[in-house]
Amino acid sequence: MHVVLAGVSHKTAPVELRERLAVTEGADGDGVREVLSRLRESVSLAECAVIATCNRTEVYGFTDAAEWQTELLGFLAQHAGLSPARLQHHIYSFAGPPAARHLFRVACGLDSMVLGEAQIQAQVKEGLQRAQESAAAGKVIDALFRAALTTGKRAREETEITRGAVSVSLAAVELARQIFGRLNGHTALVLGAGEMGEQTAKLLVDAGVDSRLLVCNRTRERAETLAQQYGGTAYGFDELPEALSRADIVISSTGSPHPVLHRDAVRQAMQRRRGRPIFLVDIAVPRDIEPEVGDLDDVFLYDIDDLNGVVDKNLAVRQSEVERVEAIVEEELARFQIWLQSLAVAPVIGDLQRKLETIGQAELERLGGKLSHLSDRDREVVETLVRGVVNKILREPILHLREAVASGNGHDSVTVLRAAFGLEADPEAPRGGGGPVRSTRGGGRPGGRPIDIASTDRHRPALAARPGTGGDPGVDRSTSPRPIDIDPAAETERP
Amino acid sequence: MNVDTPMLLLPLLLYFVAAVLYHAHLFTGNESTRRAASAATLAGVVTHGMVLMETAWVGGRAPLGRPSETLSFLAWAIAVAQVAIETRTGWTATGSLAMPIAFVAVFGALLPSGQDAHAPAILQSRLMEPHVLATILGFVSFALAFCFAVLYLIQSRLLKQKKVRGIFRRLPPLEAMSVSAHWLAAAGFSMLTLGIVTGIVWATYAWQPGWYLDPKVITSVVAWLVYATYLYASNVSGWRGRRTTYFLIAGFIVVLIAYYGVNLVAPSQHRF
Repeated sequence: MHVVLAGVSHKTAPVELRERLAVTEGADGDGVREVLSRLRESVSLAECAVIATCNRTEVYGFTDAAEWQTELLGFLAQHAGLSPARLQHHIYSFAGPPAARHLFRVACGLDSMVLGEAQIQAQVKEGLQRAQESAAAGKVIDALFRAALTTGKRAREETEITRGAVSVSLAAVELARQIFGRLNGHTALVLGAGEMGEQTAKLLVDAGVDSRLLVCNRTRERAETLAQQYGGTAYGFDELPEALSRADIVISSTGSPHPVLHRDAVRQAMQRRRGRPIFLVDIAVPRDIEPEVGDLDDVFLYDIDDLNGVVDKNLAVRQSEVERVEAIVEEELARFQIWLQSLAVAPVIGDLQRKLETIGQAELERLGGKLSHLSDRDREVVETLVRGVVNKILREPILHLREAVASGNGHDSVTVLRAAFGLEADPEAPRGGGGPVRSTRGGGRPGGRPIDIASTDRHRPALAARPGTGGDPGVDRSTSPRPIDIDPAAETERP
Repeated sequence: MNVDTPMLLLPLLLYFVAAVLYHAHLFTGNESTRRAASAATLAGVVTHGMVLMETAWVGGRAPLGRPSETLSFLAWAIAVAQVAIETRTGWTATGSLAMPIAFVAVFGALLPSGQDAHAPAILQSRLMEPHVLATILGFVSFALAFCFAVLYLIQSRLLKQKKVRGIFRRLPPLEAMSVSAHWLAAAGFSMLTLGIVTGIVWATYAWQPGWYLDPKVITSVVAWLVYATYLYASNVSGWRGRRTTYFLIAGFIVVLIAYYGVNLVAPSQHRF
């Protein structure tokens, strides 16, 4: 059995198609639960979970069915109301380690439209919760998602992949925070009630500049509409000096062809402000604020290029962290694989133990008559002797299995041991290593062509067993790779 | 030779390590460096506190009787303040300035001093303890206000130059720094006032007439005036921003001269 995945994302499908595949979430997540229950009826998956965002719809499963790919494609096509052939080259699918790797990368924001976007963590967590609620997640899906969340959390904490604002308005808000600390209690002035001004006003209000929003516009009516919307105060252009002396943050985005804020006006405002710092953000082109304004003491002027510069640098930093995040993904993947293999190994150890004990017991019973002359004490000695021999024989294979799991060859050893001791194959056992797996990928292939074959990676990084995971895999069947704890995504990028 | 010398070497080392680590963290942003810096500071506070307690125990009085003791106590109070700031706000940037000050103060305490041989009888008087304690706590507050003022100017400059990565991110928000500096200056001002008042009371009883021309008294009053101006400008007139910050820096320089500079150049009735 192995972990499988099929889905579409912004990288493989246009928005029209993603819309069709989108799972509409009810207030309490009904949409996903409903999809999960249909999934379990129509596709042979032992466990499953769905991740649904506006940029991706992905189905994760745990199965040994050979037909899972066709079935899942059929299911998704039906869900989208399209023919499988039409959907086929927009869908990607993986099995075994590549499937898990994909989820881990998704959780880190490596696969997101905006690199390192943090919202996805919450969405992965939601996917797990929905699957748990509808009992679609068993211990493998559960462990898989928890491992993904751990990976995402590590990426966020150990690298800068989610750091820094990556949009102009967020960068402005972040800078405002760096100047004023918490924004509640501070006053913001929105100069020019255009679309950009409105967006930033909304962000500022979200960030805590609540009732102290001033709106100043050439046409006063427009200013009043926007001010009313956010519970602020409207100002006409003639009242600008007054507004300036009150505001700590000014967002300017008028359509004026000439600067509307001159050095003298700001200097006078600073006199009235008694040097209280002011943060001027000029996102208009052509600029609204004379550049010389920025030379004044305690005046911090940022224009659109400055903010774009900040955003570009932040994106560059995120980009430079990708390699480190990929390394974390590989580490966690190896850890998860070891855990998965330990699942396969546990039943073998049980079977082996039972088999040898049965042999010992049978031999004792066969010779029962010949031993009847022994005293009870001597019989006990003989039984102890047989048990001792059985345990001694078991010792080496079990040790070998555990080592094999730790070094990533658990699956092969299981096969060998089952053959050597004549144990029946366990149909429930997960195939951690994963055999050759087929993968469909869009890639501009003419429609309706079948599935090309992608190799699974058989050379996982060898990783020493860590305490709690590889240490004693044969015994602990239910331990997931690691406990998780995730806090709500800090960033507010919407999917 | 001071009896405490060998015992002070450990906090001296810890303060030095903390100072270096705080700087390293400021420039690199490395998380484990930050934790190590905080741990070194805390260890310094604990070991140093034990030394001070031992001195107090053995001497049966507050460890403020000798110049070296006041320096040592002062360093400890700065380190304690750094721990308090970090616990309350999570800011570590002040450590890169405060811990070097603490280090220098302990180092100063370890320097041999002629006045250390016997604590002057006058200072063994219980009456002098409030005077010494108030002036030292005043110094500590001014020192930390100075740290915030310097960081404020750095942050303000980075913001003007639009260098909003790296160090910029690890400095506290501008306004938070000016608020902290303001409160520290106000606290220091109260302490200095208390110190000057107790000093005047003492001097009228114990000193020669004309004590008010004592250079230390004069510089202390100058420092008091600088902070008074700053507090007037910011509290009464509501001035903020870069220019008021310069007062805090100027004020601390005068305080340094009053506390430690004057003795080197002019004779004073102050023992230290």
